[in-house]
Amino acid sequence: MTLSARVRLPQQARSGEVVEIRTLVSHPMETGFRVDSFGRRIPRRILTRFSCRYAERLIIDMELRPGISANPYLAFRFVADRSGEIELRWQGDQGEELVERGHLEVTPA
Amino acid sequence: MRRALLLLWLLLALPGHAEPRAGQISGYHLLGEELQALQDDDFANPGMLWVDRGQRAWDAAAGASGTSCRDCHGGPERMQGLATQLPRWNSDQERLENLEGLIRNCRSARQQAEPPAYESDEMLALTTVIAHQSRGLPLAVAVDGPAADAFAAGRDAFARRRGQLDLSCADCHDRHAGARLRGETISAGMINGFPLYRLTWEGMGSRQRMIRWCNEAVRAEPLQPDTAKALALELFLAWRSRGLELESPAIRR
Amino acid sequence: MTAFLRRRSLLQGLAGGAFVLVAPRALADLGSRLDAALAERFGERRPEQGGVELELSRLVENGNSVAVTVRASPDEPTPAALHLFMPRNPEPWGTSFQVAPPALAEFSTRIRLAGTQDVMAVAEWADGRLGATAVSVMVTLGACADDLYLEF
Ligand code: HEC
Ligand code: HEC
Repeated sequence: MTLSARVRLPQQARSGEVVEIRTLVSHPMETGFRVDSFGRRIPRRILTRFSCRYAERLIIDMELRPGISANPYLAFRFVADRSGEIELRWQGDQGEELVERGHLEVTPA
Repeated sequence: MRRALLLLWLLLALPGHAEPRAGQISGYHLLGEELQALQDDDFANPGMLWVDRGQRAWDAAAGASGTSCRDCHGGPERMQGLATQLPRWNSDQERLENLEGLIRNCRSARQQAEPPAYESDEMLALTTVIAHQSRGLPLAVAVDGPAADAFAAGRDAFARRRGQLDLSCADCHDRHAGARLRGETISAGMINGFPLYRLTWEGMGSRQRMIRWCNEAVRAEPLQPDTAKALALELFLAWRSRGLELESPAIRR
Repeated sequence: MTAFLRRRSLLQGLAGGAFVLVAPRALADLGSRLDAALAERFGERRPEQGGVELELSRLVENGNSVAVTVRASPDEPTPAALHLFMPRNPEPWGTSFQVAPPALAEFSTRIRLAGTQDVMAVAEWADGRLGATAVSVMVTLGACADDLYLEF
């Protein structure tokens, strides 16, 4: 399955409010430890990195390993402190990359 | 034992109503809380990735005709209810057709493109987005009239012992439903969740994939997905699941 | 019934073959696997108890997908990273989550567990200090259990 993501990004928040990002991305996260029914080892193929930039700052940088389930799910939270772009980026060990962007508008508390 | 099976056939042979009968229980109720919550969470349910992808495939032009599903059918919501009635008898072709067959037919005859292979991601995406439109609706297939013979064949296939382990589908899903098999609880074998996301597969699978999986578990001859026998079995399973709400994309272990 | 049971144990035996790659290990061995994973990630440093919370169910139905939440304890300063270790997995180091303000030191994901084990979360502060919490998880159906059926 080609890389595709479901993301839930906050679009508006009050300054100081804690907001959540939820993500789900299609990827087999093939561990490299499994064998097929002919006894052949299935080569490793995983997403290796996820990162989130918010208003020009790298706020999350995550290293993914085969212990993460297929079709990885990730949720995290941050404090909305200024308006700006949110950029989510997944990178895989086959050079694949997926980027999702959104804008968060922050109003004074 | 023979007598028990006979009794079972008699029970199963009672006229069909669109209400769940005793012993019919969706595999959902055998899931623990955490997995039920996963199925119910329309964001985190991984099957929703296929719904999304199905929506995109639905809108994409394909083949010599350069048309998309949307060009002829409108939105996928127009398919609401369809998945609850399949498989159904096609009188022109004198055979059962399931959702995969209908899609393959449109793809080759109307879009003039190579039809998506069974269990391919594109096929699963399209079947899932279509089945998802019927979520919450009760399964209700027609098994009388011209479908009666196929239905009888399906019922027969369900009860017939097969494979090196000499087990029938009914041995597990009627007689031993609720029993534990290697850390797994055997369900009543309902098909209201399909296409569904099985954690064991780490992906989506169709009704026919499940049938093949079970068939292989008892070391029987493989069943090809579009043969009369496999479709008859699918019809019988749909009838056994009648009245249960369609859940696609369901989560199963 | 007996015939059924006989067939059932046959089925169990067949399916059991799928576990070859994640063969159970002695408990003493488990400690050394975790230790090797910690060494790979942290060199000489080893965590002290506490400073991080780990939420996951203690009884898991299928090791292929287990919901987990890791967060720094509320009474601690914000760590620079959170890590997860699954000592009985073929690769015990599960993930590392580096975090910088204004993100909170907390994430939820789904992990694979190749059998019953003590899952460990580690918080790492900028000054090099480490804190850890472990939770015992019982897995009724381990990750990789389906190798046998892969082609279907
Ligand atoms: C060129 C027009 C055209 C295109 C393109 C097309 N279809 Fe169809 N489709 C039809 C017609 C006509 C029928 C038969 C009449 C009916 O049942 O609506 C049909 C029937 C169907 C049915 C059975 C509906 C029912 O209620 O019995 C399904 C399912 C279906 N199409 C799916 C698809 C999918 C999925 C695609 C895209 C991959 C697609 N079709 C593309 C024209 C088209
Ligand atoms: C050895 C016991 C056994 C036999 C025989 C068997 N199955 Fe299964 N079946 C299982 C197990 C185990 C599962 C997975 C757990 C569950 O949902 O029951 C399953 C699952 C299913 C499901 C999915 C249920 C759901 O909730 O999604 C269907 C449908 C099914 N089987 C149909 C069949 C058919 C058709 C046959 C005969 C070809 C058959 N089974 C034979 C053990 C068996």
